[in-house]
Amino acid sequence: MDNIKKLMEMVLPVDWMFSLLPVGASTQSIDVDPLFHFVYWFSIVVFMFVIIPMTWFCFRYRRRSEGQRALTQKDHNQLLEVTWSVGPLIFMAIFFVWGFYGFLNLYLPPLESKELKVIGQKWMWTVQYPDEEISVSGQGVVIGVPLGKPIRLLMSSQDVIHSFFVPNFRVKQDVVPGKYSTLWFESNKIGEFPVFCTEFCGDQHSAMLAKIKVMSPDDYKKWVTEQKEKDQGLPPVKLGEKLYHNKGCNACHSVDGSRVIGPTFKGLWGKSEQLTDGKSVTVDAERIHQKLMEPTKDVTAGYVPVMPSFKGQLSEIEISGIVEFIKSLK
Amino acid sequence: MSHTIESIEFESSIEQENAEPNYLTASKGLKSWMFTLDHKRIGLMYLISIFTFFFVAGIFALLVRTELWRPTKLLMEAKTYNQFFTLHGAIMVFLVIVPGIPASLGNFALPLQLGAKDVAFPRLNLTSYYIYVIGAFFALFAIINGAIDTGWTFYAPYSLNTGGSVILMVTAVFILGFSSIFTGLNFIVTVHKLRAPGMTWFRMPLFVWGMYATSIIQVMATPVLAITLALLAIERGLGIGIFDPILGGDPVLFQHFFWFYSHPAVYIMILPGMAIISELITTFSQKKIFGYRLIAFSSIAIAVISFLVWGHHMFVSGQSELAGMVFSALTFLVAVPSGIKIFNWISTMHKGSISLKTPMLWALSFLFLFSIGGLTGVFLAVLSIDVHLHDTYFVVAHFHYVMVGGTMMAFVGGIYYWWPKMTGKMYSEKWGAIAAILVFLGFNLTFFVQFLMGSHGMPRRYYNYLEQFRTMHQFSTVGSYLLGFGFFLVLLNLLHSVARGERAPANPWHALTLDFTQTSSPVIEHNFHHQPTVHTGPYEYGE
Repeated sequence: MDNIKKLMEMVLPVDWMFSLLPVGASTQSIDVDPLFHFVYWFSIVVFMFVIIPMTWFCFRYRRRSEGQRALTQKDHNQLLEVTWSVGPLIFMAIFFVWGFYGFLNLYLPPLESKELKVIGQKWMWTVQYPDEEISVSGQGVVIGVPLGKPIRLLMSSQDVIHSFFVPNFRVKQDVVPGKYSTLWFESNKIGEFPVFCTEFCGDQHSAMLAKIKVMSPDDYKKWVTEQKEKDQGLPPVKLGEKLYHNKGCNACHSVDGSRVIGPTFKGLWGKSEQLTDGKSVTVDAERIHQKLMEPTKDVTAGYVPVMPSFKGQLSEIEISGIVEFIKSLK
Repeated sequence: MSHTIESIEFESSIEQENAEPNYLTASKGLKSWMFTLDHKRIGLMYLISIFTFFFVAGIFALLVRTELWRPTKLLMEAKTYNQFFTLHGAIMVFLVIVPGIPASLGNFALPLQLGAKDVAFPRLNLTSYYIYVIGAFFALFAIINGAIDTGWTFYAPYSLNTGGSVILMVTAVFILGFSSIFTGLNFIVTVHKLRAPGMTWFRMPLFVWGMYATSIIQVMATPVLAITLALLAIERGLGIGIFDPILGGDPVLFQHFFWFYSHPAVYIMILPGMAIISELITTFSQKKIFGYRLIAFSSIAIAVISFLVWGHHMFVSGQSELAGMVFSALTFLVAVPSGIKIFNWISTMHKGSISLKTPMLWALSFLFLFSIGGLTGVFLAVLSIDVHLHDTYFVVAHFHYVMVGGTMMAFVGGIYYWWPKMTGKMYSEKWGAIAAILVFLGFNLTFFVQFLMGSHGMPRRYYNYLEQFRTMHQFSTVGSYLLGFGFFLVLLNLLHSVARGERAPANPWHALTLDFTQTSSPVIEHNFHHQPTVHTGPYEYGE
């Protein structure tokens, strides 16, 4: 018996034949997986309702002689027609509502979620940890996260559209150049879970892999320390501070609250600003990105449009660092 | 009216035998084909071209599947692999499946079923064929001149900056679009204006209803694709910012424009297939179709709703959650008419007189495979499930089940069905059955495992993959060879019949539609000796 099982395991993907989905390792999978199985069983039942009559009719009503006529020409059945129109419609409605709630959950990260910055580029992921002041990147990069804590990824692309996909968490979101997109998860299982880029992005699309390593809080702290000791890239806030000086932001923006030519960075994050045209805008990552790329658009009231554009001069990783630097100046 | 029970004789007023020339022999020489205005000749030329490209794109598919035998490199570099899957998709979509049934069987059989001498605009018909040929040449030229590696979906900004002949290829697709628009336009006018006396709308065969609904989509949706690709070419060539964020553009806008056509396009692909299935099921059950009006209306409903669901390709693209919700709800709506059709077809078979000739085998294949394809579409319509399944092999399996398991099965069934009319020959039923069974088995082996791969996280368009997916990929690759072989047998079976097949009778299947009751095999040049008139519905087997 054991030998047969071993043989089967060599040839057939046995464990797969009994599971439709990979191990669920997030709170999202707790909601999505039952719905998936519900749709699956619905499909099996409907399929049986199609195939069994079809096969039976081919046998029972097969033409036995040339010119044999049909047994009836009846072409309507009110009860049947109403049943098979209304019945599926009811199931469709259930699937829709359940799926919509799951979807909303995916798009409403908890307020207390921990934010990591993700930048996709051909062909690797970079993940910055603003609080821990570390950054990891590369093909096959290990992205450490603590167990049981909601994590929110703020993502953008350096070049073309990528997509961040973690099958075990049932989450996915396109990573688009020119805008930020968000994805959140809370993992409930210790382990390493693959991350795939899942929007075609060129030659090494299939090499743009990563691993999310879910660890106990203690192990996570140890991992963070290890990363700090490795040369994995300047932590975001430090990177932002460096650029603040090297790119000349300090010429017009202070960090101590005094007004120079542009608004001070101190306390700027999260502030609501009025624009020259009367509209109001919050200072968030999008706003900072906009000011760096198209500074003469949507100017803050009371200031002049003299800021130069940094289009083509700052990578997404650097912009992310500037954002974190500004955020840190409370 | 009484009928004998033993046999039903259908008198054709044309006993052709050796006397009268048919549409194949009425005029001879290359010029008589190149400048023909005969819808039957045009349909045949389209059929040959379309099937040639089917085999070309099929070879690209086999190359892709072969490379995927191993998780790492086997035969080719990543860039080549990317080009091969792109060309497989682009050729199959734009040169095979979209023109597909309408241009070949539609052209051939629609006028016959209506009792008309030809389509409304025969010259426009020939023009549409030449536009197809020119578009095909542009595509071939693009392939030789650097090819493309963008995927058939051409997403920006990747398609704006990658190497290769993107502009040439989108120009080819732009040109091919007009072939599609002209065919659709022609059919719409033909159905409105050239029906035989007595043929009211509800006495038309369901094949005609399906082609009519398809034509509406062709005319309304294809221009959007043309403009989208023109914008892509302009941006790529002239650097005007429309989709590229570096130039101030929006990449997601491209997706909206692209899918606004490409979703209705998949209904251009399936509606003609469903149209054929209606004919096959009714003829090979010798029974009036169950729920005629519902099937007719469901085709129109599908055509209309198809324009409202494009965002279901974009749930994780960055479009708003509200948009996602609306698109999901409408997508569920479009599933219902398709389900109704399946149940109506099965009910038609109930208490019928079922003959398992080759066209019917392909129709049964359709029912099996399209049901799976349609049901897996339900998974993808569910917002939270789609987040997990989007851009995985699950989607690849879903669309192959509906496009190959659906459209191609119906297409081949239709070719076998109208083969006597097209060639005057009967093919070997034995080899027809063998090929059908091999295709069915090969298809399932290739694609069923892909559902599991996808739900386990295997992404699309991956040159290399993780070790855990190896066995599944190998099953799929073996299946693809069996599938290819099966289709090759179909080709041999049909070609052999032209050379050595038995002469076909006028109405080998005892169908009741004008294309079989009032024509010879092969059809004569002017279709009918006298204008047929119609007094009943198309499937009155009882009366």
